Amino acid sequence: MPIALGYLPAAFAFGAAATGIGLGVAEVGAMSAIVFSGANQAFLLAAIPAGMSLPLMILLTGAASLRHLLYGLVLRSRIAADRTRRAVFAIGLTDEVFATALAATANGWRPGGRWLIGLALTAWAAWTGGSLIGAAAGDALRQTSESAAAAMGFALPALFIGLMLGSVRREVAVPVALAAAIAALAVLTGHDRLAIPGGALACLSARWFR
Amino acid sequence: MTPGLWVAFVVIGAVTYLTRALPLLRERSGTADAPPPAWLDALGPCILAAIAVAVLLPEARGAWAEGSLGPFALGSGAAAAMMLWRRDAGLATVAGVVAYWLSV
Repeated sequence: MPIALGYLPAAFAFGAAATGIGLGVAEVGAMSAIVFSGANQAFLLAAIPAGMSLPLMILLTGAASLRHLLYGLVLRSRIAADRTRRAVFAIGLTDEVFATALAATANGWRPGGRWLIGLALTAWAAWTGGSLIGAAAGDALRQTSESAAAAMGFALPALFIGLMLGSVRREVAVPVALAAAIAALAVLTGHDRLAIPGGALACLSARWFR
Repeated sequence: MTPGLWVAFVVIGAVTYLTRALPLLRERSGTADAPPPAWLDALGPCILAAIAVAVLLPEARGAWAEGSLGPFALGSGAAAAMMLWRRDAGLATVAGVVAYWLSV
């Protein structure tokens, strides 16, 4: 239950922001159900209207998903589930599910397949349902007044302000500042499409700034 | 939405799933507690920072041109303040939208 409640505000915000780029309510729900990755979906909200090519979208989201490899490596010796149940649990191995599962093993307990699948599917249902509600509410709010429509248009920038501030840690502060500078340079010189891939390359500087 | 975009969603979903499932399904124990490489640790935050700039700069320019820089600044400030207070991107979004709405 706590993980479902934790997902709802972000899912709601994502749904509301997604309708702002022209996606329908059903499309938002399907996207959340299929992709089920807040970071990758937020990235798509910026990449789609920017006209980014599909192969580049897939490449960058794939690179961003590599962190999940570490989650599986950390958890695999700490859980007691057979291969089939592990495969089902993996559907929902998000950042939040990883943190919850890892915390549950802190006192030596090894979660079983049923517990793990319940955790993952609860997160999936909360994310997908919250996205749908957010998309429907965002649509309805847009139709109530001009000012509400303008405010809902601010959902995407507000979402990224939150995501960016939430991801910055001291160890990565310099690469992040460099990424922001590269993206700003690309936008200000009219090369908007290079902003995200160019900024992503700043991660290569991380080894010198730890 | 174009069929190509649907295909991209399915491929992205499949790749995301594989990155989650493959280590769990491998039998051999390995470097479970090894720290992530520096570049991988920084990749997500760098992408998010680049997206934030790519979204916010054009929005700020548009707000400047339309004379609505006040709501933009108040909405941004509210979103940032909520994020720093509660560490929840969803609540930050709601705070930013409400502040923007109230100041329009």
